[in-house]
Formats: sequence, C-alpha cells, structure tokens
Amino acid sequence: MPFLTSRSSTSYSAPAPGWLGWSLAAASFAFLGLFLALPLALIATEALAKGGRAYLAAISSPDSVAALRLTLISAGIAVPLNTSFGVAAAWLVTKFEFRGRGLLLSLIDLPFSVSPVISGLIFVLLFGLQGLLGPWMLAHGLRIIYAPAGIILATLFVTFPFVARELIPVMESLGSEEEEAARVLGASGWQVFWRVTLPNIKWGLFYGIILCNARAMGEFGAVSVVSGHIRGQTNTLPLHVEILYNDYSFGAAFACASLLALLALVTLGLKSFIEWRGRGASLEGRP
Amino acid sequence: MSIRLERISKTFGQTPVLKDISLTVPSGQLVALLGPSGSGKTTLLRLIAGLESADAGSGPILFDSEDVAKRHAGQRGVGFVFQHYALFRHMSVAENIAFGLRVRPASSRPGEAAIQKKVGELLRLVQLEGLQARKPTQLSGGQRQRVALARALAVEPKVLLLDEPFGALDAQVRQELRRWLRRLHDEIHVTSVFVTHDQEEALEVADQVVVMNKGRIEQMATPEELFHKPATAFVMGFLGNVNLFHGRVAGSKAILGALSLDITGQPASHEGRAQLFVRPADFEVRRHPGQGAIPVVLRHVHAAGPVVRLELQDEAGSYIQAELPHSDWQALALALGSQAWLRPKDARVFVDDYSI
Repeated sequence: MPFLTSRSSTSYSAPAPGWLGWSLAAASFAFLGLFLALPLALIATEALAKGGRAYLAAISSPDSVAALRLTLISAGIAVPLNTSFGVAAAWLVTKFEFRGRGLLLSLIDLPFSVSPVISGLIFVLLFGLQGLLGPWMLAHGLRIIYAPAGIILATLFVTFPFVARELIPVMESLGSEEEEAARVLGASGWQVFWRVTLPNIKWGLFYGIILCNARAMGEFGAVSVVSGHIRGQTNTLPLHVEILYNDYSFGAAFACASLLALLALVTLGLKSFIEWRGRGASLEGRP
Repeated sequence: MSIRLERISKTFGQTPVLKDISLTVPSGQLVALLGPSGSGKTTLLRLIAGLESADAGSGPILFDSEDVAKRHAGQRGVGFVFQHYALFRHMSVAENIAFGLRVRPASSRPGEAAIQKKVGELLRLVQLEGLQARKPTQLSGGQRQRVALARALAVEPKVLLLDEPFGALDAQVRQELRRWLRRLHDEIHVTSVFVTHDQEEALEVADQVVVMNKGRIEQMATPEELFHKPATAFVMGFLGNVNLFHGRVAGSKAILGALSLDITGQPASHEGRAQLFVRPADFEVRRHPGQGAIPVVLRHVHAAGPVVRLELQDEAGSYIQAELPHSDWQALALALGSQAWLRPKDARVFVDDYSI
C-alpha cells in the first residue's frame, strides 16, 4: 500500500545529485511520461478527435448518462458507508485491546489481497440464481446479481479498507491522552469524538475518503462480474467505456474515459492539497 | 474532600500492578505518590480518576463518604493533569481551558460571558494572561503545563490529580514550577495527589509522601518523618544518596566485615543478614584509625558546592560517599589517593525486611 507511506516522506538536504541522481531522475520521468502522461494525452486527443460537438454528444447519450448516474449512486452509497465503517474500525483497533484484534486487522485488509474479479465472483456464488442464497432470494423477489444492488455491494466490498487503513496509523500516532483528558473533563463519547478525535484525524480522514471515492468510481473487475452489462441499467462508467470500445465507437469510448481521467486528476489535485495541508497541520501538532 | 481507597488491586493481563492497596488522603492536602517506574503509582492515580477500573473484589474508592468506584471519569469531579499535558492541539489556550465548561449539558452550562470570565480568571491564576489565543505548540513546556492545570481547574474539581507534572521539563523550570504549585495549592486548597519518581520533588512539595514499590505501599508519612524514620530498607534506599552495606546482625551489634557497630536504643531480638544504611553526612572522616572506623582510600573530591563531597574506596573495592563541611575538609588536609578512615556516626539497620 504505497499510499500509507507516501506522506511520511521527509525532505533530505542531500548534496547536489551527481550523474547517478540525474540518470535516476531521467529514468523516472521517462517511465512516468511513457506510462502516465502519454496515455492521458492520448485519451484527451482521441476524445476530442471528432470535435467538441461529438464529444458532448457522446457523454450526454442516454446510456452514458445512465452509466454516470449509476457510478455516482454506487460511490454515493459506498463512500459514506465505508467512511463510517472505517472510522469505527480504526477507533476500535487503535483504542482498545481485545481478543481477535489481529484477525480484524487482517479482515480489513482482505479486499486488498483478493483479486477484484474473485470478489465479484463471491457475490455471484452467494446471491446468483445457482448461488447459496439464490433460490430464497428468487422466491422473495430480491435481485442482487445483474442489478444495481450487486454493483453497490461489490463496490462496498472492494473499497472497504481505504478509510480504515488510512486512519489506523494516524490514530495510533495520536495516542489517547487527549481523549482521556476530554473524558475526565466531563465530555460524553460523542463530544469526545466530534470535538477532539475528529479535528485531529480530519486530514487523514479526507485522504482516505478521496482514495475510497476514486476506487469506488473507477472499479472495474468486481463490478464487471456482477453487472451483466445491461446498457442503461447495470452499466457503470468504466464498464460503459469497455462496451463502447468493443463496439468500435472509439470516439465515444475515449470521451467517457476522459470523464474518469478527469476524476483521477481531480483526486490527484485534492490529494496533493491535503498532503500539503496535512503536513502543515502535523508540523503544527508536533509537541 | 478526602479520598479513601480500600483493598484496591489491579491486574493488567497476567501482571499484577497494584496489590491490595489501602490509602487515605486527608482533605485539602497535597500528597505525593513516589516510586520507581513500574511501582504502580500512575495506575493508582488513574484509578482514582476513573481512567482505569480496579479488579473485581476490590474495595470502594471513597470521596468523603461517597463511593465513586462505579462512576465514569467525567462524573467524579476530578481534575487530571497528564504527564505530556494532553492539550487539545487544534484549540487555542482559551478554548482548551473552556472545554470542560463547554461540554456540560445545556442545563448546567454557564453562559458564554461567564465562561470568558472564568477563563480570564484562570489565565491570571496560572500567569498566562495575554496568551489565550496561542495554540499549544506555540507555548514552552512550562506554559503548556500551566494551561493543562488551568484546564483541569476550570471545572472546579474536588480533587486534583497530577501525573508526573514536571517530568518533561528541564531542571530549572521544574524547580520554579513546583514551588509555584505549592503556593498555588496553599491558595486554593484542593485535595491534590501527584505522581513523581523524583524523591527531592516529593519531599519538597508534598504534605505527605506515599512511597510505592512493586504495587504496594511501603510507607506513608510526612517528608520529615520519611527522611528520619524510613520504615523499610526500600524507602531508605529510594530516598537516595545513602551508602548501603551488607552485613549481619548478632545481638545488639551489627557486624560489617571486621567492624562491629552497636545498635543502640533499639530492641535487637533478631539475628541474621542485614542491610546497613549510612547517609554521606553521617560519616566522620579521620586521618587515623580508631574504634569502629573503616579503612578507605580517597578517590575523588567534589568541593564546588555547599558541602564537600568525597568519594572513597574501601578494601573490598566498593565506593562510599561521604559529605563534610568545607571547614572540616580544610582542617583534614587529605590528598587524593591517601589513606583515611570512616566512622559511621549514625546508621540504620534493616534485617531482611524487618526494621530494628
């Protein structure tokens, strides 16, 4: 999980780089240019290759709008739920010693260690027609697989660890003395959380939420397995891009892809902003 | 408000931290819990505050005659000052101090004007006027400590608890702040308990000192009594700056190598291995041998102080500290490396945990 360590980078006052430093830097930039900047530029040029009108038409077609809506809905459900879950889990893991704490920590990490396609498959095996709960659900008129509910569940599962994983190291380093001080002063549990804990973890929390949201909107594998790819109904934006591409409508595919790329750029911008703010705050908070 | 604890035990996992502690803190006193790290003193303080709960089967924790053992920390009416201050880092000094008042339920919360007035009074009390808008990180250690104290006092606690209040400060600020704390206590007279591992701090500031060791109370006494009548070998050793000799007791004599000392004024019914403590100032340093004197060699002299401190080495090779006034030292005219004799004028003997 590179994002856990990326923030703790300290600035070294190293001597001016020699040839080794320059060649390493050049290699890094060449790699980044080839694998990040170039594809991004390609998406932009391909999306706008047939002019702005065609671009607007592609992203405002009913199927695209439906895909965008479903993407926003599933992220809109998964992100708040996983935020509250993440905060609760991080609180539990860092403030209390209990039996099964290690097991809980591994369970939180599970979605990271399982391939997304497998996670999607688990839901099919559980809720699909031939699945464990399939017949019972059919009898009660409940549809999860090949329905928006399945997409939301898969998104929930895949984006489950982000907030908790981001908060656990933050809360561990904060310790619990401030919270104890608040308790002795008569604050209730909620007051402790809102007035003491939350202000201290807010940058870590924002960071976790942004990463969670980026993954929720961009998730492909798990969602693809449970979706059924019904246009206008169970298509999310990433799935829609694939369908358009397979239909040889490259312009439209790239147009929709540009929306996701835009989201990535916004996420990147927010992430840098929070890192910058969070570093200021943590320097300020240093005793 | 007095504090009384009865038969309190606390175990963390398999490790007993407090073993059957009973303790009474008289109302209005400033009491120190003194002990080495791991003696359970901080745990005891946290138990009084309600930040830990005692093992099942423990007795009550009484504030006056009221048992508060079942009450949450917030409902005990205690002020707690943490070792590392635990100031709310995102709040200003004024917001920190006002916190305890602002979190009260609406029915008992003072109005904003009353809160501001209270904050102003407390800032004056802890001598931090003009710093109310600062963030904790913009304060020095001593200032943070005083903010923590003001925050604890804002809720008008019946009991004030301080965990190593001066532990994280440098020596000079420590001295200043602990005298200030003593004066403050004389002014507001709230029953106070503070934890420290520094015997000097405890003896200087507290009305009474509770010496703890391995989860038990060794002795509770006034500083004077503690210094002159230590109840156990541990207390004697922990109060610091003593010379320890291992010997044995036979009849009314303490035998220490070739030396035998009369134990006077104390019933000597015990025989066996004994620990013998002599304070550095209780040695007579002589140039010539004599009755009851140990031969030593002078190894080091520290004369830059109110008294001259000598480091001497006995025949077994162990070091002994002695202290004497500058005038005596000059009259003695001893050179480094020369032979001398030490005669203990006063010694305290403990026979295997049994004091005689």
